[in-house]
Amino acid sequence: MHKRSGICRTIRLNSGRVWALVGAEIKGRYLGSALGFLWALIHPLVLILLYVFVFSVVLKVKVGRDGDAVEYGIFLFAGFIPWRMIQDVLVRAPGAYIEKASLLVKIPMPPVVVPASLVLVCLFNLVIDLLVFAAVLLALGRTPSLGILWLLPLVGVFFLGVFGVSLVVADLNVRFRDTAHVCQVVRVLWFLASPIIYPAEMVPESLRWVIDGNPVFGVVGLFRHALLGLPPPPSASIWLSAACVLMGLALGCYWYMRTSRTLVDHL
Amino acid sequence: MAFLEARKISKAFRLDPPRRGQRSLTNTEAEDTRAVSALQDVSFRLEGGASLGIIGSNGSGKSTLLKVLAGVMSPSAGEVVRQGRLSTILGLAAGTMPQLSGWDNIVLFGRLLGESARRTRQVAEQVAEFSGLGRALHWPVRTYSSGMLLRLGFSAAVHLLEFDILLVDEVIAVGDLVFQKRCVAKMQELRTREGRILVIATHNLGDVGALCDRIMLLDNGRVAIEGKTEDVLRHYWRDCERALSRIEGFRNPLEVPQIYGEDLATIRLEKVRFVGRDGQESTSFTSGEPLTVCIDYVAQAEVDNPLFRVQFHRNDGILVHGTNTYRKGPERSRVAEGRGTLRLHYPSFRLLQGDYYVSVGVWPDEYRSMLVNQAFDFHERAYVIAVESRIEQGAGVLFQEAEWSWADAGQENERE
Repeated sequence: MHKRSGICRTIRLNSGRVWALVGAEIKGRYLGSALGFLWALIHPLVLILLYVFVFSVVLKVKVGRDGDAVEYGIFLFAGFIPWRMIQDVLVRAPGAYIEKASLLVKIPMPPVVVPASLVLVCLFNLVIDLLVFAAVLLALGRTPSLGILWLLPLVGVFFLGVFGVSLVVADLNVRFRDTAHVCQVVRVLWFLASPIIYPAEMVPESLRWVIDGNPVFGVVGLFRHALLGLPPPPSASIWLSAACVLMGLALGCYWYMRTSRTLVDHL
Repeated sequence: MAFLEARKISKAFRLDPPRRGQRSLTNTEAEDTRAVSALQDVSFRLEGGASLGIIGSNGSGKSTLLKVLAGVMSPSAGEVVRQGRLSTILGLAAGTMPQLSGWDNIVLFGRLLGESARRTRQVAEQVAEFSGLGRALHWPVRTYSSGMLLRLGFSAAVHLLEFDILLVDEVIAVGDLVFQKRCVAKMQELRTREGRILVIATHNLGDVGALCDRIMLLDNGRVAIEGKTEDVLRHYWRDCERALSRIEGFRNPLEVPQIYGEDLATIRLEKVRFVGRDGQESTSFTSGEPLTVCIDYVAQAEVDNPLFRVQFHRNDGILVHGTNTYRKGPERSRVAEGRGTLRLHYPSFRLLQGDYYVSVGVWPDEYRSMLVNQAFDFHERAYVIAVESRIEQGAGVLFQEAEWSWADAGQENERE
């Protein structure tokens, strides 16, 4: 029986369960399809090519002064990597507890195991994306700078923030099933309001507040800084992102401590 | 020493999802007036080698109690105190990944129960052998039947963990006979030879009788009786009998599919009388003496060849005797419009001592009416007769003429 011990301690004590779920999830996702694991590579590449076609070839969005389609593609890809994680969590976290209801109701274990394994699977996808990205860069004859080492702390902090959000969203959706729908809408709006498919400089001054007030800007900017050596986002945006990540984590943990006891009753 | 103790556990659920603004999001433990009580003040203590069977009708709180004991759910009041590791079978397919193979799921299940990856792999072989699933273990679990899922789940739960306490919710019933026996034998062994604590929720009194030294009967979340298996079973059976005797004049109101053109209210049973040797109506009779069942009916119209049936059931539901007018009927096969009485006469009624329920009914035909469960009129277990018999007439249900004798005189002398 899990007492009200700290969330870190709970996760540490249950790390075996978390890893077992992560492994089974990753294995189960690609098992039985002919191309199997290749889908993890194909999926982001197709998406990137699609966006490149629409925005760079058709709509002529330019990155920098002499940005061509390749330049745009790399720019887009670098921004897409952290966004995909946010998107994954917004799509999958609401259903996390419900999907694993049979587990939570029938095997004694602290519920946090489920969102923890979910975000770890998302992190796994992010790492795959990074590897694909690195392969693309090398294929284009570019070598990343040492700035890429910034990724390690960046991904770590980002991951914790996303984890916090997933704790709230997953639990909320068990009690109020509207949460999943809200998340869908938020995801679409947020994507368009973030400088992922367009560079932040293209945003007209009158709408600049949308970008400045968006915590994703800092994250995406930092990823691009680390991966491509682009100039970092303004420090105000970085601080905003950091504050949001910390708040997300704190809120998630607080929420979990307050609500996990009654979670199973609602499943 | 491992133990499992429930201290005045109560569990309440809310019926409706609470409306917005009715309670604060974070304070979910606030009192709610629409709470439904699923468990109330359940207490017990089990130590090594003890076993408790939980019985009760559907919705009486058995599964909730097990979930609270397992720690999956938190009790609203009271607490569960436990020392020792826990293994559970609270449902089929708990925590399985349908795309993964049986083998992968064994490993996953073991780790979800809290076992290390290394030991899980070590005992996976034993699990596979006990389950008897053979090459099906290489198939994805989504292709498994419920019986196969039980085999996987039960085998994993009893082997993977070095547990002290095993909680089993009613699942064994879906296994085939061989595997059910294997499960019961395994649980016997776990309890008696290895001194583990066993808690089983079930409807199968046979399992409870075989496995448990104590029984708890739950009724609407309260402990109706808790005690030694023998004592509780006696109570339980008496309750079931009483519940059965309350089913009076039961008629199945099934209308579809309608296979009869006419309205089935054509013949009504007005009264059923039981007449003994002295020609007086009665409800108590003596074994071996005459008994006549008189069925007074009213027919709204002339009916061609209806079927009258009389059945005697023992109080535990077994049909001890039945007969109908098709198998051995009176000569006239038409029922004329108006009142009438049909008699069924037993020159010597040979049921032994006990209470018997009598069902009397009239149908348009024998087998077709069974398909749709329709009758002109049917008084199911609506009558009770008491039969007295002498001890010399034998034991059981049926009185048979019989005599003992020695095969030869010599033996008789030797015994003297």
